Amino acid sequence: MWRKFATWRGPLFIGVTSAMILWLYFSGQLSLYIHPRYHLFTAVMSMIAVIAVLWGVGYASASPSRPRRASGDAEGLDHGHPHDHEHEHEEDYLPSGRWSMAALVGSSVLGLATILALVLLPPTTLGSVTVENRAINQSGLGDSASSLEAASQGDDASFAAFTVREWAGILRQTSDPAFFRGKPVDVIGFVAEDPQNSEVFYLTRFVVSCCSVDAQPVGIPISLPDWQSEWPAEAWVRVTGEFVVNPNLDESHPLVVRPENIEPTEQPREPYLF
Amino acid sequence: MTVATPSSFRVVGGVGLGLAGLAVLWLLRVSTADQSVDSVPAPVMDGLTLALSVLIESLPFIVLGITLSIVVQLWIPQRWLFRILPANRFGRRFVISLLGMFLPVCECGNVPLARGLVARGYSVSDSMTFLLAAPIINPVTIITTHQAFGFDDGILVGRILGAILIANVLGWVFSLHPNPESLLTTRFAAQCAVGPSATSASRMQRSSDMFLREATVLMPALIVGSLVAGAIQVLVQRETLVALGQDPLLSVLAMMLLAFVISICANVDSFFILPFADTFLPGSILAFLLLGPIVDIKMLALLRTTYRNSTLVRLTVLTALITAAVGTAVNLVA
Repeated sequence: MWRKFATWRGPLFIGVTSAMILWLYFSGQLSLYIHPRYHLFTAVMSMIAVIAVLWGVGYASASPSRPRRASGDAEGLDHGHPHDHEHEHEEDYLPSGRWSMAALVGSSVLGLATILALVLLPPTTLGSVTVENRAINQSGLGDSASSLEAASQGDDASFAAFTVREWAGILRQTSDPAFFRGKPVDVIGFVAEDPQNSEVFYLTRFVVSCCSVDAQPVGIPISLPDWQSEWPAEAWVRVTGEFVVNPNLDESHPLVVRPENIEPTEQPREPYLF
Repeated sequence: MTVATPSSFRVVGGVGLGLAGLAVLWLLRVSTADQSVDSVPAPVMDGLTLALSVLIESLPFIVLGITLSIVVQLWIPQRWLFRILPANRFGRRFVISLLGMFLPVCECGNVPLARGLVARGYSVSDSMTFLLAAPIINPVTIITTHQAFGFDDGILVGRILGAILIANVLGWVFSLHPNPESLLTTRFAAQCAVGPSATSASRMQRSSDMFLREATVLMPALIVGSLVAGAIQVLVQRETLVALGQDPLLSVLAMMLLAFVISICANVDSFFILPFADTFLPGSILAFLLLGPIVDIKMLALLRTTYRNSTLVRLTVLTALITAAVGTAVNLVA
């Protein structure tokens, strides 16, 4: 039993993980984990893995001692464990030492837990834990001169297309209130606390450049004293309004959005900005 | 393809069983897709999401690496790997350090390849040169590093040159050993002395076997590496790293430690380290990108199958010293 599991855990892990990646791809949720430019490549490789595992299962059922060492041209190429000797099959995967056995058990438990989580837990976005850990607007993402230029000569249509990231980028480059006059803000994001200022909250999005492990929170300050009583952290909202000079001079933001309207909204299908 | 056994009926049965298992998995997945996760603590959920994103990002590269290493080992005549080598020792090692351009696999896939090269008659030090250079000097790594960093701060160029330097220096050092065979584990050395074994299995069947075996070695390491990466992201506040990130030497050491622990594949590590690029000096990022593909927890486990512990200690110390020197030098210049 153990021996069989030690032999088959790799195919099991790669097969289940790939099958779940395919489900994420076809249900449109792969962007919760990785940037869209890798979606097709990831799906194709996952498909290859699923087919290879099925194929291997087929061969193995024809002769039960598989998967055996890929011998012949590949002598010595079946790497990874101390007992790779000729004529040994599944024994290869059961180590002898106590530490190796502990490593085998430990990695198996973690692997099983991971594939169970992939199958049973619904995919979710990152939340306020990561926002706190990474600090909003700490990185330089969104510093683009092009959005400043677009804003200085843009019309209402171009402002409507601006996301939190564009506004945050512009805000970094200028704090001249005259610049923002007559430029309507209409953005969605989730509510996050500003650790330094109590009378504003950050309207936040994560910006992802590769996969969600590199997600950076980017946000703009919305002025709303006692916002905590109206909106819980992580609530998705749509805010319309305009940037004005911060009425509370004690706070660190020179400019804040004075909201005309804040309404609850659905989490977008692609919650991250790419 | 030819199935060597007569029991094609059982093959169909096995594949059918596998397909049924897949269907069950997908049904389970669809039926649990909308349940609430409120009962799971938020830090656990975020850590899991981060870990899964590393896993999902790396998996296609692992599949690609396994597929290519099967092609190289079973479908390409091995003599191709020898014909292009110059006779001069230093020239030979230099060419070997560029071989990765034709074998674009990350470091996990390179261990079996290096073992195969030794078994095929490459010297131990030559195999070492290949092993150290190929994860970085390969098209996939170069492309992903370029996607992540462009030509900013000389990180891409530094990574390529640094890898060639480390591979050639270590190859040269190990070639000075009076008895190179003693660098290998006794078991592997004995195995190299035994010739190839005859087999009746078809090449397709051996390819399939090899895929499953590679998966068995690589997947547990990959999953554990991803979980550790996710946990560290949640547990270590960015501010702690920012504090370390500004000292020219300390930040290099911090990044080398991170690379050692994270054990992430060279093909994707640029993206992993990209968000740190704002807070760390370029030489420290470079140190991460140089050390990670050569020495980390996962690689040491894989390398132990082939090289003796004493060899690995020397390898680790030399690589770490060169990496620290290169990283600190870049930090002081930049």
